[in-house]
Amino acid sequence: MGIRFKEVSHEYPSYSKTMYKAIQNISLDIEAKDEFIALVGHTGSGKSTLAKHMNALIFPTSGTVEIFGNEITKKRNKKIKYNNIRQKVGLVFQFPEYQLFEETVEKDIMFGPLNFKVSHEEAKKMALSALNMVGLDKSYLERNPFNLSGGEKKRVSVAGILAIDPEILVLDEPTSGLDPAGKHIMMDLFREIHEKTGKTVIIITHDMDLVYQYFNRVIVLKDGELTFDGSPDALFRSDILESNHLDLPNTIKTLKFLKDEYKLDIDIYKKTVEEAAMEINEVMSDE
Amino acid sequence: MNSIIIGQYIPGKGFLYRLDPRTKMISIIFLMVSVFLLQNVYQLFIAFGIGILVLLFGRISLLKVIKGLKPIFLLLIFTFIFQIALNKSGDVVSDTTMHINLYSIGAVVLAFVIWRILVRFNKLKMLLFLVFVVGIYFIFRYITYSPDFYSFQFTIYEKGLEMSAFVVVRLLIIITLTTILTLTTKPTDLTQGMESLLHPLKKIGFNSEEFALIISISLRYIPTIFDEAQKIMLAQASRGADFSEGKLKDKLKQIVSLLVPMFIIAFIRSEELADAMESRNFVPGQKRTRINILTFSIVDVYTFVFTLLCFAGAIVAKVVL
Amino acid sequence: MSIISVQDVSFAYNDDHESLKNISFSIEKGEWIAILGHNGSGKSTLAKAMVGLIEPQVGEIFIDSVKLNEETSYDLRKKVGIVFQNPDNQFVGVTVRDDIAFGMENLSIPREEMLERIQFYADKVEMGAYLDKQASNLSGGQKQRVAIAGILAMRSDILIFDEATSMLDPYTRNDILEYMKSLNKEGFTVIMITHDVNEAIQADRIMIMNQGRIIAFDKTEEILKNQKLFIENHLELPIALEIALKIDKSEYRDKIWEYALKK
Repeated sequence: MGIRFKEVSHEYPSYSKTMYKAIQNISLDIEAKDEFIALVGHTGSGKSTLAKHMNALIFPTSGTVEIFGNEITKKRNKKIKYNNIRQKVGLVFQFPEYQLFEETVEKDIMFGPLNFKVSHEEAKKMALSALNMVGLDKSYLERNPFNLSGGEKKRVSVAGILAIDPEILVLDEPTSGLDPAGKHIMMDLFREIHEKTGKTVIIITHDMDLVYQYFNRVIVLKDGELTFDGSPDALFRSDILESNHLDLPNTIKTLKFLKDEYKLDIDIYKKTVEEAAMEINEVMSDE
Repeated sequence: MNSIIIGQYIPGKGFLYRLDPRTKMISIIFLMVSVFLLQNVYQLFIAFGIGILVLLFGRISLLKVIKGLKPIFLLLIFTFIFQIALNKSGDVVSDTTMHINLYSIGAVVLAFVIWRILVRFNKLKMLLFLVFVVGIYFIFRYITYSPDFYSFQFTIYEKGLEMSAFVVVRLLIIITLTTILTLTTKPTDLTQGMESLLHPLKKIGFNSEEFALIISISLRYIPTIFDEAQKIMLAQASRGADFSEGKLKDKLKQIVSLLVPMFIIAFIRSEELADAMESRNFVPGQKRTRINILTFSIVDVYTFVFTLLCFAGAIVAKVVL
Repeated sequence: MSIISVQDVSFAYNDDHESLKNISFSIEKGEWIAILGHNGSGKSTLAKAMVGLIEPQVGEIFIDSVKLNEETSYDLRKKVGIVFQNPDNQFVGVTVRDDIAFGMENLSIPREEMLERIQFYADKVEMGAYLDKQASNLSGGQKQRVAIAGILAMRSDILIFDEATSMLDPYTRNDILEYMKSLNKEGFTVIMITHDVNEAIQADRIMIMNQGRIIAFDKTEEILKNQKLFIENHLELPIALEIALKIDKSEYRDKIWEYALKK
């Protein structure tokens, strides 16, 4: 077992003196290997708070989070090495390009490994392999991260987490701010990392097209509560979308429109443009 | 969500809230001067009494004012003790022998433990400390059941008592006055009041309007920057930067990993903000109308009259008495 | 006469790399224009040039027939309002009221008038109940709405949205788009800068930019017919349109096309 949430709640003190419940009573299991999970929900649904619990950056106000055997509860436990947990579960924040600070890409990626007491030599090696994993070659090592493009900065900062070789990788909206082309390149990259290494990858996203195309498990939060945990297919076939402020993927939407308009007998649950077009063309040839 | 309240401002009603910030600032300056003009502790007690009445009249909870006194509470107590111990003029008020012996030391330790335990579960920390200090005095004075290791005379003189009360009450009044200002005035109103009061300095080249704009933009961005610092700190903690432990060298690096991104973001932010301001026709130094204006009302007049009466009273006290 | 006319404009931040190259186009009053391009295509630089935040080294920009330069920029900016990308970096005031007032204060509008306009335009973007709220207690979408109210209150009639929705979640994004739509219906000229084709298709005309040049500028339907344009310029067609292009039967194809453009 990688991460297990047991009835976890987290409250913040808020302006009006009442407690603001960011997440409530969440129970959830995440395997240490071979999962590719989308975490979705409206703004303020508690997605980011949930993610911060996954590597013990914040502690639950009630319940326990078990991360690779370490029980995280409200109280700081002196026996637990929190830094070790952060090495096991790598968390990439939204707009990670803003955490870069070194004068070369190599030094910046090495920051993580060195913090986890890896030798200098080893850290160098890890930096290069992490850089390759995000699709950049070694010519980038000596470059100044601040002179890179937005997409490249994002990749370097993801490499900074990959270099600490976490078992589980959690990414908070890694494609925000990227144009469509950049978005798909990043998503392909994460899928590739997942497939090659078998690492569990959890990605927070708003994009239902991505959820449908890429993931095999989706977790939905609404007002801090877990409202769905299952396959994307089951989610989009269910009737809970509207109450969770979620949209249908565009392929389904388009096919649904056509189906209703012409009373066609077609399967609207198609993931890609090609599959969707094929479905329509086949129905037509049947007629 | 988690918003930070800047300064000590606590929303409320009552006349002190309705006062123009300029009135408050000017009055407080005059009242402070008045307090310094006062000659002896009895006059100060009268001033203190008037102050309490103003607080009650302004419907400000005394508890909140006392909370504002917290940071200087220790200073007050030590000033008091020093004055009493060192000033040896005037008649003797009380002369007691202090006994330091096995029992009394034990009692002090016990009192200390009880104090620390009570502090944990009690909100009235200052009061408990006061009780503790007074308690020590009585312990040394009355516990005489075992032979003394050492004993000394603790003599309180009339002048010493007077002077210590004088210094402490004066400090108390002054701190209370400033607390009233920060408690009842929004930071934005404070800057605006300051801008208005500093306006005459334009003649010597000081642009108070720009100064106020800078302060208000800073106030606006403090919570944003605070949030950001927290975010970057968590992000770097995810990369193993543990800001609480580590060797000095590691620590320095971790601080750099926080500061560099913050400066870079601040730089981008200021560029974008400047663009946004310019696109909305902001030109430094040009004449602008203002949405927030300060207006004097009848309450301000009453307050000024009251302040002047106090000031006059203090002058009379200084000259005549 | 066009409300905006850009004539052969070139601009470079530093000597070696031109951000805008020979840009010429004109926009009519009341139009809704989308300027579409991937990150770094020069579209935001163009927006800055149109409000006089940068001055092109070559070429001229006319707004309402007046040439934009250092002397006229102050007056012309009253006509052109711009909403930027980052909601946090354009909120100048401490409260919503202060922020909507900021532009008007700079124009020396009397206070009474300001108070009226603030209430009116705050209500218009459904922020009327939040006038005393501070920036840190507002969501990104709410801050963008305040920014819109701020420029409307200055009585600008040309509104530029420089990726104003890109930092918002999809639902809030739709909200802001709806405001653009209704403002355009009221007669405002709207220029929307975006990299999202889904947003751009709402406009009357689309300009595609790449590497500082205008690649195409035409009616939305015409632009969308040319799929090659999108592939070549690293843009992505809306999924519904992509499906439509792959359908054999013309009746269905046209129906989906229509559907994709309507939403």
